[in-house]
Amino acid sequence: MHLALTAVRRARLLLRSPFPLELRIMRRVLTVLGVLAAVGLLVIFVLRRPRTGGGAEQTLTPELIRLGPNTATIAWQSAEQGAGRVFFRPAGSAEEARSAEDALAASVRHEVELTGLQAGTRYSYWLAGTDRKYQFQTKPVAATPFSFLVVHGEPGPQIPGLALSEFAEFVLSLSGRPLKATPVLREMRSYLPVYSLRGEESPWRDGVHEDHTPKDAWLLEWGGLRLVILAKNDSGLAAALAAPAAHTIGVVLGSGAAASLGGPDPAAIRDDPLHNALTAYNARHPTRPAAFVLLPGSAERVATVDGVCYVALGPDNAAGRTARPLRVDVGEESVRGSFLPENDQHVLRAAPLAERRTCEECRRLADQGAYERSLAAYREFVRANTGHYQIDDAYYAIAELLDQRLFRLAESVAGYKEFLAKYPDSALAPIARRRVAELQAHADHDYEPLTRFERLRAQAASLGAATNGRAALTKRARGIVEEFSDSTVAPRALAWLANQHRQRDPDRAAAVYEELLRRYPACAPAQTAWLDIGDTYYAARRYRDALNAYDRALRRAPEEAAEIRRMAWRARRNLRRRRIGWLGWTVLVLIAGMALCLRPAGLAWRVLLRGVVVFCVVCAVSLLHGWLIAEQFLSMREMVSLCLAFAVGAGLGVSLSGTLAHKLFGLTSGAGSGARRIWCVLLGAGFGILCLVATVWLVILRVNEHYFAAFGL
Amino acid sequence: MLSRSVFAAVGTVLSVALGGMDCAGAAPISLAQVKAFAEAEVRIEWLRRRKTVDWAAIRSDYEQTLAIVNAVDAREQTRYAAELAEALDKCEAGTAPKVNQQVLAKGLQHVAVLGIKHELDAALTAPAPGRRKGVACVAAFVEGISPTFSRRDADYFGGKKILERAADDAVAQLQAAAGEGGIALSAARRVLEDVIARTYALSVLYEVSEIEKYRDTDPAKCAVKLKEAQIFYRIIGPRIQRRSPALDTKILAILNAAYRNMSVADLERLLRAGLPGIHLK
Repeated sequence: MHLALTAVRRARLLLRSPFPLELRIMRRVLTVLGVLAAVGLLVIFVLRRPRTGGGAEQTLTPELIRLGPNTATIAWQSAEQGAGRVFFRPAGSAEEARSAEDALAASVRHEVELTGLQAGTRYSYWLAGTDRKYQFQTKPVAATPFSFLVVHGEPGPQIPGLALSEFAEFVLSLSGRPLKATPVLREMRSYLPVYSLRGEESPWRDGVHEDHTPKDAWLLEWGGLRLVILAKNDSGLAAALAAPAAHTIGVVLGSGAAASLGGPDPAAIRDDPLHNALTAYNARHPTRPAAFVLLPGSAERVATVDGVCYVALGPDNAAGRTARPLRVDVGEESVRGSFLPENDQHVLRAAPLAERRTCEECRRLADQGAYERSLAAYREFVRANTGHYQIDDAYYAIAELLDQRLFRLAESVAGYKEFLAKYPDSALAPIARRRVAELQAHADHDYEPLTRFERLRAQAASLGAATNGRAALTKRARGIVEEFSDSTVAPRALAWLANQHRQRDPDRAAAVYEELLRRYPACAPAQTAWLDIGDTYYAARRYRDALNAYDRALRRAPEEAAEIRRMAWRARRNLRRRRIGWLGWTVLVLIAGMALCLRPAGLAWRVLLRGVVVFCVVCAVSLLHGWLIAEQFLSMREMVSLCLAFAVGAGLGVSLSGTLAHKLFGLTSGAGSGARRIWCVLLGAGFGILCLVATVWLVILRVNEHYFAAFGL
Repeated sequence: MLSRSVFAAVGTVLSVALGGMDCAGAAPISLAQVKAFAEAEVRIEWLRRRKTVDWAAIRSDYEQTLAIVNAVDAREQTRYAAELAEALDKCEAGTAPKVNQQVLAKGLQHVAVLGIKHELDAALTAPAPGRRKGVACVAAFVEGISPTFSRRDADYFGGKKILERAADDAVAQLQAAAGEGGIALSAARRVLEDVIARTYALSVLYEVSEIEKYRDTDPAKCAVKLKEAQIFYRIIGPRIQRRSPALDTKILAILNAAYRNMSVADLERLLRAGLPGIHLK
């Protein structure tokens, strides 16, 4: 009975209180969770980024259907209708990607033109909604070196890889088959243009039934090269040769046009009207020759006849060996062809006097120090090879010898000018122009001060790091400044003089810079003189002086404000570190002084012992830790110094700070209320931390300030 | 018993003979060796910057790189094993240690880049497992030269990780393309090669700009910078030389000129012409 009543009582309790409450809570929780889930789904559904391109899946790889110096057109087909979008940016840059869209109505076929591109630049692009990235390179504008690939027969699977790894800017196929029949070449069209003998065939354009009439003769201009492509016969050659070309002409023949060349056979070539037309053209335009002819042949063969190089690419042979592709490297002065992958190289257009233009013997004499003999040799070389040969290197070398070795500056200016007049487009022309401008800017007193200064600099450079002889050189520099004080070279010589003193005598360097400012305030070196003074003092760790100088530099050269402010910030930071260092000394002296001098004076043995024990323990731990992270330290000595500093700071902190706190709260006898003890402990801990930080700070300041950077200080 | 002894003797002789035979060329490089090379490279770079240089430790790390260095020498007809050993000996003897340190450090970077090129060449024609292994080796080599990307980012891009990220993206593209192979792998390869060319062209420019800055105040520093510039140029020189031997000659002329005649503006112009398509800075 008792048991039954107890059970009933318990059952009532259970029914009464927990269940209804739990049920209510559960209901509420479930409701909230359900609402949250619904909201979440709604958010995901609403805010999910719609796939551009109409959310269409891209089923075909994109094709580069048009390429110019500043534009490119990408085309592709999608499974669903929509607007096509392409993202693109210069390859390797961190710029925000730009995008371009279809100009047409929603469709499954998309053509997107990318505009505002830079010539001769590589771009990455990708279709919206896809991850795969492609690349292309825009056409160059000026005559720049480039390479292209020529293929014949059935291109093997290695061709696309070769085209990219050999840096080809386009591919030319000599086989007469349409491109749409060669999947390997189609695959490449996402990355670079592919041309056939009939023009730029485009499988995509064929798909849209765009009218593309195969051409029998057409021109491809690329980076200064003109390719005259004659599919059937040479009827278009005369017109192609008549128009002015950049630096080289190459002819590409189809099998029909190449039939008369016999393979190529030199005997057959000499009688061929095409060859005669090319040699006649070359006689009239020796610096812009028709240098080579590419043709499909029965076998791989190279023959040079009358300066024109005929290269036949062999077809796939019966044994199944695919024809070797030819990589053509085009420069302004030379063209080379290499059969891949073995890199069998043939010269299609030799640099004029390739074997003699650099005049190795002339250069060797200069390298041996026989400058006069080298000069004479170069002059003879030029005299013996004038006419239609390009020997800009020799002209430049003569001017440079007179300038840099013999210091006959007036003659060198004349030499540079002659070089520039004859070869204004030479790669060395910008260097020559810059040098002429420099020399003419200091032509006063018949180049006398400049000559002496240039000799001085050459001798200083040959001294290297040696200090012997520097005093004599600085005296000579001073002599130039005093003797030719009104010349344009004097301020440069004074600036050079100041530079010589920077490392060894900063005050003297600063004095010379200030002299420069006083005597030649308008000259170029004076504009940054205060910055140089600041840098000199900074290197000498005289940060206050450096800051004064930077302040004056900011007023004088506002265009260098960013650099000056950066240096000034560093100087202020270093000054701040030193001030904190002084503060650290003050803290340590105060804590130690008060701990030792306040009554009862001195330190108890126990306290000292405790400090020593703490020192030993912390030293061991920090050395172990330092050893584990040894690579963070620049040397073992620095690592040991910092670990010891930490241990010393900890030991001092324990002994001195505790003692001081006890003395300040009058707890040296041990008696005191709980609250006082707590405050004593807190104060002692505070003093201890101050001791530790001050010690470590001072040691880092002494050993190597670089470690402050680890703490962001 | 006699027959067993004879049999054992013959077997021993045959084993020794076979073991001593040259098995037609060196064993292929393993991923573990490449990783060891990259780690040693990074460690050497860190060790040589310390105030007191531990040459014994550097030599020990250098020995980890020998497998790769010898393989590159055998393939590319270079002499890096001899050059780097000589540089290390000179450093230990105190002969121009700063210059010879650069020969060692930058020479190893060139070896790494040549290793990358070889692995990519092999990956293009290998089946899928070989491609993945090749790309893994490339990733390890890139890790070894990654300090150079960071430094050029600090010098030219205000610390923003332009080159580092570009290199990471390029390696990621390679890894994604390793399964597919074909033109995707070639395109990814080209991306990485362009990042490397860009980084080392900027490295050459940086060292020459330092020479311009210090040529009147610190010729000793200029000697070190010049050595660095010359070795960095070895990495991109072949690509420029193939495009235009004339440009290559001109760049080499600048790098062999007297300090006072060097102009970073001229050098930049020539490098841009020699590396068309590459966005230098």
